[in-house]
Amino acid sequence: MYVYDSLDKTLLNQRVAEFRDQVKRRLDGDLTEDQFKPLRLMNGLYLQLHAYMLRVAIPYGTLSSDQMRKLAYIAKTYDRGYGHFTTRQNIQFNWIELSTAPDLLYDLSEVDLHAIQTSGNCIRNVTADPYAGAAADELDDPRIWSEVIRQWSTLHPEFSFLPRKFKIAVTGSKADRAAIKFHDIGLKIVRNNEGVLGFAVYVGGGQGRTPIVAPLIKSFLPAQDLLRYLDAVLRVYNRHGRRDNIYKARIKILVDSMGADSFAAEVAAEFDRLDPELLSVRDEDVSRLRDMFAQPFLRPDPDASSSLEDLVKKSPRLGLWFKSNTHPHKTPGYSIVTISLKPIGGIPGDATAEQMFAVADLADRFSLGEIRVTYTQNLILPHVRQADLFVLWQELERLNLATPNVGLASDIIACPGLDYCSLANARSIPISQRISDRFADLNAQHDVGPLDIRISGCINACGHHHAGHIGILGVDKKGEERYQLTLGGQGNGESEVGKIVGPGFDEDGIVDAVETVVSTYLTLRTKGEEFSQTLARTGQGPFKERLYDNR
Amino acid sequence: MPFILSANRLRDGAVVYFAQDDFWSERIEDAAAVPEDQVLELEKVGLDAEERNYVVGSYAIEVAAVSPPYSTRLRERIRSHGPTVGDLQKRAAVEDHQSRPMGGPEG
Repeated sequence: MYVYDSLDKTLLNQRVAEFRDQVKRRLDGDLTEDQFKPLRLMNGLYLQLHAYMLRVAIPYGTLSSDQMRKLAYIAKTYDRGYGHFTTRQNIQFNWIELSTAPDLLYDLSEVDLHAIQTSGNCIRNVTADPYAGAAADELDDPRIWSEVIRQWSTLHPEFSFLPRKFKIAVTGSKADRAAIKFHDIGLKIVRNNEGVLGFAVYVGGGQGRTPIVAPLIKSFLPAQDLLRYLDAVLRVYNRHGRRDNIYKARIKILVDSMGADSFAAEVAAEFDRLDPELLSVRDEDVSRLRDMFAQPFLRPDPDASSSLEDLVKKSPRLGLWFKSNTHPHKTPGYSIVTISLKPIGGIPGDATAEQMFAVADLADRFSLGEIRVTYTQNLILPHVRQADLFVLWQELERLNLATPNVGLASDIIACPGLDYCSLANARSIPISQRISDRFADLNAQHDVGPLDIRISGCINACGHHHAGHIGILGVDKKGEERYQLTLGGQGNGESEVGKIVGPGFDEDGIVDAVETVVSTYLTLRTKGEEFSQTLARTGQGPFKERLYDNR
Repeated sequence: MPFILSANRLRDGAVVYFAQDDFWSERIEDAAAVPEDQVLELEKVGLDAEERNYVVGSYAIEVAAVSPPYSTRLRERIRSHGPTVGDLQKRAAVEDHQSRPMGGPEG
């Protein structure tokens, strides 16, 4: 993993000291709220419905066990005993006091964590494939390049006051587990015909009020030119992005209005103007990062899978868990394990301090001390010996962290919604809990197969509803919560924006509607056909009929 | 319909309601309700408290009933009574936290 050097540490210590002084001046009345608000937001501190909320960046979704322990400590000491893993590989603490926030940030800095650039119109925490460094289908480790981008973008003076926030995601695998095309910039690591490492660059994707799948604007960018090209994209955006209308300020609107080809041409011209030496990614820097992210030697154990098969036969629940919550590792005899933060009827993405402490210990015992955070609000132990899976599963069962539902109906993505968020129009979490309860039978969930249900409590779409097979958007209609239903979105692997099916539903109705959609799929599907494939074949017609004919 | 005044306390962000004189309470039951023709004066109390750096974001809330005050807006009911999510462990933690003694109005 990346280890902070003295420059990183100095920067972080200075930042904590600066914020401590700013908070003191605010509490003493030397700063007004108008003066202070942008300063606290630059440190990830929002004022939400019930209290201050601190959003902590988890760089490209990678945590060490010590960092996880510190998050658990924060939850226990400064919050109410839990934290919420978000849809952007961050963690949010919902009950923070302003007066102790500087102490909290100091504690975080001890393990190289912070909340810088988790808010504001700047380049946010770079996200990446949570299977990085472990996936069998990986061309190169996206964390190396995410770290290059983190260093370049941290406190970058030219890009600290962009027209709007800016999100970058990186994947090194063929399978897109980082939803890169729903980002302002999505980077996919590729090799050209000569075997040179580089990136396919997608620009102008996003969700929110105007969901757009990012177009490809450069099919091959040599890796050494990464920062020069990103600089060029940001410069074009900074120059032409709309600052007069917050709803039109994201780069997706600019790319869409200019056209991808014109935008790419302008970026190319800017790229040519930039100093190649100044922004070149140097081989020695990459090599240093590559060493830091190098996976320690794992002894291949090709026979492990056969003894595992015997165990799976003995316990059906272990069998379900093995099927949905483990993924092939690049080293024979190892697995990538997903820890579900979606217990039946639970709150998506929430973890108690006790669970976080325990996961840190399990990471030390079973996964070289490494943990990953997914944008789908689960955790991952990336390097687990298959010979250890049974013991690990037992431990996770004890902690209520082994629900065998990853990628299934109850693995719901949900934003905090009106229960916590001051922007929300409707609640998300209780809807997800009720849907989860409705599909509580895990055997039935496995029979239904892969199904992405995603819920947002407002049009900002933090719950990624546009990209769900079944998407739910909460709205406020004359003081009542209503829920719009969309079908056909794709966020895992493929990227597609779902379409609204018809009139919205009330709180009870939306839960019934989701069940109706699933039961309709079960009557329509052909053998081996997944939900999204059936929907693509039949269109929304039969689903609409079942949903609305009897109303 | 009557109105009450709410804000977030600067020091800890807690939801508070104007009760009387300099006293802001965390309990909506303590909120002072005024008739509509006194809303401007009520809002001025909020602005004064903001200027004294005790609260932020004060605003008047229309309530359908006064004892206890009841807002027809779900958002306000969630602010006054906490998240509606039904996790018992968390609710217990929240209730435990809420039962801690709090400082005086200008702590």
